[in-house]
Amino acid sequence: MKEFPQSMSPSNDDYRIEIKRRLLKKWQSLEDETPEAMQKCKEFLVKTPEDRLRSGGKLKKLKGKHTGILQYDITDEARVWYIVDRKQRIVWIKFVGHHP
Amino acid sequence: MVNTAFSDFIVSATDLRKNQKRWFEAASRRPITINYGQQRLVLINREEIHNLYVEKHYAELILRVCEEFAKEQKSNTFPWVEYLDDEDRKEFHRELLTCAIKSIITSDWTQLEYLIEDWKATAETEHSPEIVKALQDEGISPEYVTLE
Repeated sequence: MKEFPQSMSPSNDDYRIEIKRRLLKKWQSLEDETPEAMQKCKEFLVKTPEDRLRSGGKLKKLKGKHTGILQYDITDEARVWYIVDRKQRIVWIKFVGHHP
Repeated sequence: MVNTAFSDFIVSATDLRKNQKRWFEAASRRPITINYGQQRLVLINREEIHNLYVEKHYAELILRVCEEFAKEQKSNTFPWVEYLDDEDRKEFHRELLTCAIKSIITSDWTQLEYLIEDWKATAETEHSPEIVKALQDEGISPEYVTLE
């Protein structure tokens, strides 16, 4: 059975993370490069993907024609863009990559 | 003692020395101006003066943005604005002014800071055609897998 850090103990309120298949490789390479930051990011997405106060300033809520899309700053360079389905408790990752 | 238009009390240094407790307690509620020779010094609640400085900072910033916007100049204040299209630029400007007015009334500048951060992130995202394409992509279920 997969082990979680205590703060990451799975609960019924957790969000499921869905990612585009073609982004998996990028996600995994970021996990290799910055394991701690990626762990924090994953924990945030699973537990409180819309909570600005718990993001430590890393969460941005896009505006204008991108309203509804959230951006989490994994590191100074890397970002993840996603939308949240509160009803089904799913985080849909639309893009992960480096800062434009 | 004179009660001024700025609602401060004006006291002499001698009076302050004689009635320290009284004036220190009063200073937590309103400014106390102390006449000290030719100078006028003020005792003021630190939070109040902090708010005044923050207000000044944002007032200057917003006036600069308004001027740039009115003159249709490239923004030096927020250089990233140029990545937004006309419609979003106008929306940013409208939201900035509305939020600034609310912040002045409430003395809470957090929402204004969030607003600027959010629009900056939007503009930077908009600057990358690859990301914009990925974000506009509506297809959901078939190409997604659960992240373990």
